[in-house]
Amino acid sequence: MKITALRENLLKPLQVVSSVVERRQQSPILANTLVSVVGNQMTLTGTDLEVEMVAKAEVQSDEDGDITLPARKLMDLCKSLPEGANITIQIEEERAVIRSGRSRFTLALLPAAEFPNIEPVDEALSFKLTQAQLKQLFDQTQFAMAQQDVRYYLNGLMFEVTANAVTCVATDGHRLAFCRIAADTGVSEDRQVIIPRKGIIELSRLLESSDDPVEIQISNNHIRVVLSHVTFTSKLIDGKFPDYQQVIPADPDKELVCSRDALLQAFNRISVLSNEKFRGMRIQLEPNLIRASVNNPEQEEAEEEIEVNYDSEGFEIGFNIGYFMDALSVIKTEEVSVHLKDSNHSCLVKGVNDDASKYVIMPMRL
Amino acid sequence: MIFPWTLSQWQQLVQRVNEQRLPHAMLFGGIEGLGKLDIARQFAQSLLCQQPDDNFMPCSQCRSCAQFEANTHPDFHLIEPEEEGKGIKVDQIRGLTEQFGLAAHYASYRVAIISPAESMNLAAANSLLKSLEEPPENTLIILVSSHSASLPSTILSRCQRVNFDSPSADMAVNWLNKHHTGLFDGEIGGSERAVLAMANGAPLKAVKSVDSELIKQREQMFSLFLAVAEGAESPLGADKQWLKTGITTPIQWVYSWISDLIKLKVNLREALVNLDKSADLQKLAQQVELGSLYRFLDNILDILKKQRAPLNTQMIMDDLLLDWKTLTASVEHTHYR
Repeated sequence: MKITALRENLLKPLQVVSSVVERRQQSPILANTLVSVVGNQMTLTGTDLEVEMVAKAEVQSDEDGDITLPARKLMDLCKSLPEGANITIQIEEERAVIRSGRSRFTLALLPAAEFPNIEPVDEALSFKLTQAQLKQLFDQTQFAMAQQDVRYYLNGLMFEVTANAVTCVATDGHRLAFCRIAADTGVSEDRQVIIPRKGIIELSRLLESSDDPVEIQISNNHIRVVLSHVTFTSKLIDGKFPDYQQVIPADPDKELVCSRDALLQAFNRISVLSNEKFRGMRIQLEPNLIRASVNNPEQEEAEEEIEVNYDSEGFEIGFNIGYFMDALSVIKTEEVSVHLKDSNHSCLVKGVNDDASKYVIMPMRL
Repeated sequence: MIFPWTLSQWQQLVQRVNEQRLPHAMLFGGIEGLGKLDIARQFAQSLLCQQPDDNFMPCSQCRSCAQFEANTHPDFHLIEPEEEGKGIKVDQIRGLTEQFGLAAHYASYRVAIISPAESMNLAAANSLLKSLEEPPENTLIILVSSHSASLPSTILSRCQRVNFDSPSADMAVNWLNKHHTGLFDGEIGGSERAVLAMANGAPLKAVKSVDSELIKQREQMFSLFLAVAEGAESPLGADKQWLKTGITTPIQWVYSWISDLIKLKVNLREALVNLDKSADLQKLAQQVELGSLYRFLDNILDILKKQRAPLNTQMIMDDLLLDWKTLTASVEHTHYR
């Protein structure tokens, strides 16, 4: 098999595919990319067994065929060749000879049958969103995912699809982020899956705030996102996500409204002196005023008074200041509302007049 | 390939698959050199194979088999010590648990083999408990161990045991001659039974331990052993230069002769390991007393435990043979009286 292609046509797909190829692999074949040629189209597949990336390239080839080539080495070679160079890949028995101008490289190859790519599944649930919608869902929630928690089902993002909405929820057990957007998915049955942390991070890198459509396919074991230039597949987490509806407080009777920027900036300033490990912050609520204070083991203190709209009784409550700032950072509206019950119950933070995203934060005992 | 002495275990496994009663965790136990790991791998490949045949053997044609044979199957995990002689680390088990948290790559089974299971340190074993307790669906964990008694009881109680036994000597000799023709040619011709005895009856270990020098040493050791018992050789006077290469193995031989003597004393002829020496051992058995044999066995175990200490090998061997001498002599003495 002899493949000819322009450097630029190869480089972009190779970079996409190499991004998931780990530097230290469990087995040599995972350092390779699966190259399949059908007609004038070359499909490149890279995987680390958790996520898979498939990209396409325009090439000329004298025959169809499948083979695997070292992904990173091939990418580095393409990158180092001059712009506009023509590259030919000649597949021989156990070697691939790559020629361009006066350069010649010989790469080792491995049979395609040994490559653990993910098969397309027939009975997948499939629907479409825009890139911007999917990006919004992820951006609003992913920061709350747990990291290496023994409750492995928290180390990812819950993704739920119903006929007219898509919901994402992430939680690490101390706080929860929820985002639901209306979308006419047209799916016949509701479906809830958990996408692992790594899949979310890789996928977020690919998404742009555009109105281009993305197709999402969910099968028993995988979720596949088809973008115009790349197809991304991630394994799902095999577990049951906690019932998030129960976590979102249903009856907070006290509401506090204030400017998002003022609150975030005040928290930002005092967070400097918070206890680095526990990050506890004391909030005293008074009519139309809150007083936020932190201190650290060195007995250093910081306090801020913030003007708010609040007309219920005063009380005191503790929070992890980091969790609060994370939530405030992703809220888009100018004003935020904080819904509270008492110092033993979690609070709900959301943008005023924005019901798409909700953030729940558990209080701390200080 | 299914070894003839593992046929019944294999059939038992296949039957469980057919009846859909496969447990989530199994322990393959039995002495070293019976091919437990080979059977475990074979079984894993068959479980993952897309079209196993009627005898549940893998097709070696499908993509799953191609990946399995190239060690790239994403749903197969073989956990072994990263370095030879070292233990299985807790991070390896944690990595496995992490994999189990994710969905399977393909629609079929997921298999993990941990071998040798006893090389897991305590932390590793403890972190495996969670997976053994609440395994994901369609997942099989096979622990392979030649010293299963040293596994924590928390692990043992969570696995179904599959025991592997040594084949009869005839079956083993047949198999050795059939599958390893030429192994017993030349000066070691006819020493199959001796080699098998040295390998505790385990054929695969026997294949590895064919060594003419060792066979010769064992003969030398046995004649010394006999001569001391008969009083023809002094335990101290004998030339033991050939012991320079190490005494652990010779002591293990003595151990196995003594345990054979005990078996003869309690009429367990069929369990005899040193079949090539059975006539001599039988004669010896009449000369010794059961109680002192047990005491001697304890002595040998003690010595084997101390093997790591830098002791003078010559003196250890002298000591051992002196003990042996007293043991055999005292019986003779009472006999005469």
